[in-house]
Amino acid sequence: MQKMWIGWLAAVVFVAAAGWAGSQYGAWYAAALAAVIVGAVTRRGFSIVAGGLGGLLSWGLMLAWMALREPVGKAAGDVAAAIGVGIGSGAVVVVATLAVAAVLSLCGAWLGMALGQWVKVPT
Amino acid sequence: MPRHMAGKIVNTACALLCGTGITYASLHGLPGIPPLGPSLSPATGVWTLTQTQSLLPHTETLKIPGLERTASVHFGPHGTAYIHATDDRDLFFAMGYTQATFRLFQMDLERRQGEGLLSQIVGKEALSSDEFEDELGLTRTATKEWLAMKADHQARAVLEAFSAGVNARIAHDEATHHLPLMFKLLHYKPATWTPIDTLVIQGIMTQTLDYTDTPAQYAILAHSLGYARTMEFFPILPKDKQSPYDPGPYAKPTVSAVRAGASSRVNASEYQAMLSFAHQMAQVQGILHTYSDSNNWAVSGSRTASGSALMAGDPHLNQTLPSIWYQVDASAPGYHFSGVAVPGLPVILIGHNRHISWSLTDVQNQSTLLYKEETSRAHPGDYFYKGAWRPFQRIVYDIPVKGGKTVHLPVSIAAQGPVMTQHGQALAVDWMGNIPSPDLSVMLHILQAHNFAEFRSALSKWYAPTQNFVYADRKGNIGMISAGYYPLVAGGKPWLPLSGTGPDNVVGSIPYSAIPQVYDPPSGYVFSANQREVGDNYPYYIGTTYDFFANGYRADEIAHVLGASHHLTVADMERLQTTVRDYLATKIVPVLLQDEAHASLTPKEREVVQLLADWHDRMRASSPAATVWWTFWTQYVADTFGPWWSADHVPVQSDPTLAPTPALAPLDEDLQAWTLTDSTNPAFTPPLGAPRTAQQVMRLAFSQTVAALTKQLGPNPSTWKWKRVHSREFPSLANINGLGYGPRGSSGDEWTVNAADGFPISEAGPSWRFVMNWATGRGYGIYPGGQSENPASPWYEDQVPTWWDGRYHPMLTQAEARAYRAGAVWTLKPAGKG
Repeated sequence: MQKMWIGWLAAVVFVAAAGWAGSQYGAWYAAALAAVIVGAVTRRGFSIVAGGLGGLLSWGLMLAWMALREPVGKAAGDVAAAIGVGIGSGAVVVVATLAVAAVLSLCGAWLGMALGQWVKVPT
Repeated sequence: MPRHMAGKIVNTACALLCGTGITYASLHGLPGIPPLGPSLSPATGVWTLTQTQSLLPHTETLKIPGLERTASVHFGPHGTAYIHATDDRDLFFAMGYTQATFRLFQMDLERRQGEGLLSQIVGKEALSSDEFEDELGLTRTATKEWLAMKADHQARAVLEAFSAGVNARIAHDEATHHLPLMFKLLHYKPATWTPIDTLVIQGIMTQTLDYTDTPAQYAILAHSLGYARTMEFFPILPKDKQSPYDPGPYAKPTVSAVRAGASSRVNASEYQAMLSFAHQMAQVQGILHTYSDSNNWAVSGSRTASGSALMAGDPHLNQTLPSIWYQVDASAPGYHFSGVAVPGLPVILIGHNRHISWSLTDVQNQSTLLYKEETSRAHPGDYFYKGAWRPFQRIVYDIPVKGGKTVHLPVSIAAQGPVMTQHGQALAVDWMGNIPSPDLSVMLHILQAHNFAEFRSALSKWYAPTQNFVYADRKGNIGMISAGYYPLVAGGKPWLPLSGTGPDNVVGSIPYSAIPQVYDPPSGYVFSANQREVGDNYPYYIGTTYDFFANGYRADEIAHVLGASHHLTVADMERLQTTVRDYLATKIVPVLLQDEAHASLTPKEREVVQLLADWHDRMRASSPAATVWWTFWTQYVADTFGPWWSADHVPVQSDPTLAPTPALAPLDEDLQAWTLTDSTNPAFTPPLGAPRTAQQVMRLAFSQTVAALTKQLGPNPSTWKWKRVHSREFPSLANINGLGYGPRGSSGDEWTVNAADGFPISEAGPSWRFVMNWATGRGYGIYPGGQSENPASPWYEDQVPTWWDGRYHPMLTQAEARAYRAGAVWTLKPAGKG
């Protein structure tokens, strides 16, 4: 049981770290790729949740870190206005960002898991 | 198939489907939504607009490929860039680099507009604008200008250095994923900047200021009202007394003067063509200058408290966020200047160097001529010109459209210029923007001028847009030159569409020595505010009241104030720039009050009369009398001219700009003149109606005003404040709600020196206020906006409150900027050199 939790935590950290590092270089898909790997290697249902959470954390923590020093709220409002979702709807942009991060990685992990099922592991 | 196998297949298929879907949306976006992955990534997507380097510059050393020697940029309290270079070429390189840092999207948007490439990034909504620009041909003119520059041309070197600077910043932004927000939202990257892009932006300025459809509107009016009545209501010379800055005497002309003539007929097919042309203009109205408002003036030492010259200028343009202006101070071995530049241009247009200062207003002379091309089905693709059928030059433009197919647009070009419509009649346009104009070269000489002789010599090469250049210098001299191109036609009535077969062609321009200009006039002051620059006896045709001089009220107010003062100070200049005294009201309200004194009034009307009696003609936001005055004048214009428009079926449905409102300057002038000196003019009597006088129409308009305001604003006249019906708005350049400023209840109207153009919401007015004090060599300036186009930056709109309150920022010297400790400093070093 403890092993499973450690594995789960490792998967989350791996996806989040890969997402954070990749994003610095423009690889916005890095967390999703990491999640594919997690799903393919573990082939367990928990990898989907771990992948989604890792993706969410990778972008979420980045935003939180930025918010400590920079006007993220105002920027979200400006972006919301620019894309036409309405003045004062900055929260929509924040939620959309986190949702995209989570869904990308979640789908990545699911895909990895589904594909991994077709590979026979030598025993 | 085993059950678990089926489950695996379904699971894999669903995973693939979802994975493909989210990957597609992340890579390509959805309709109306940018690609989600790259756009929302916190490190490289839209969120980068919050990162420190995007918000404000910070002190750092930047190694930049393409720079020759070390240069520096100090940033002042509001982001003014103080550029110092040890090499002239590097100065313009740094200018490009700095402008692109703070205004890259604006620059890209402007060049795309001029080059007809907006649809490529925003879709078919911009297609009419792109088609218009390709037909008109700013890119064709810019290309000609570029090709005409020889390899050793000073302007060529400046354009190349500026472009290299812009491209260095684009490369930096791309490498660091810090392209401005809108590139990310619209999901495209800026193309390499070229000298032609800069020349296209120069062309945009000419188009904005000087491209008009007035000949078509004259034709529409003549078809409806009849030619004689059209010329009575929209005469060549104004009916009211105005204040030209160059009252003469004038040299004898080299060509015979144009006369209005007795009649002119517009047939049905021509009328259709004119409506089509006017409709085309309505489609692109937002990119043309629909108001004629800018001010500038200079005062010699004889009229100032200091004994040195003072100069002031405030160009009135569309007010947007970001602003059309970027403030900069530049120093290099060959140049020392300070002022405002249009992003995309390597020089300031308004400002000062160490010896002289200058500012601009639009001359407003007629620079757009329409030609009716004779075509025949028997000669497809040809037009009849100078006795023979000749082929139109034909160019096919490809307009890429985001989300759609590329549009192929064939453009026909006649001898006079491009054909803008073929509905009913082929109409070609000859306008000054199609003539290469060495503006950059002229401005480089002005930047280096020491005195009026050098200033005047430089301006002799300026063609377009025609501008009133006001001048003042350190030695106390003042002057004004209305530099540019004044087309002279061989025949015909140039305010109407002309024959395209040859006899009405442009045969030259008014000689430079004969264009409006003054130097150190005995009055001790010069001024322009888009009024007709010359008196009625000026021997050349330069345009009509409708094409398209201002009605002169701002000029009258400026002349009134300057002419009455002998100890003028900087504060007086600032007060005059921000005054909201309505000159027309000072003339008409006393007449109205006199008439109403003899009328039988309701108690409420008496209350409103008292408001006007206590008023001092100021269009202040808190003034109820201002509301009464504007509503009254609007109603008076409508009551006088409306019956003629209705009876003669002027097509205001097709072209709303033809409606009889105060926006039609000639109607204001007519009505002012008739009210003051000809109250029984037949125009007051409606067609087939009982005779009326000015007094009767005023009475009617006044009671309608009181009734309308009661209905709109409530029963208490003291609450009818101007700000309840009139406001200013500075929309975002990309037309995004929420990234603009306002609307906010505001003072001013179209005729106040502090102009607010447009009613009820004004989106144009003083885009930059500048005062130069030659007693100290100090300039003062302010524009409504901020130095950065990033909406999250503290420099996005930080200067709006100061502008709104009528205050100014001192323009610091380079030494003062270097001493400003809180400001960031860029040290720009050539890449690869220590």
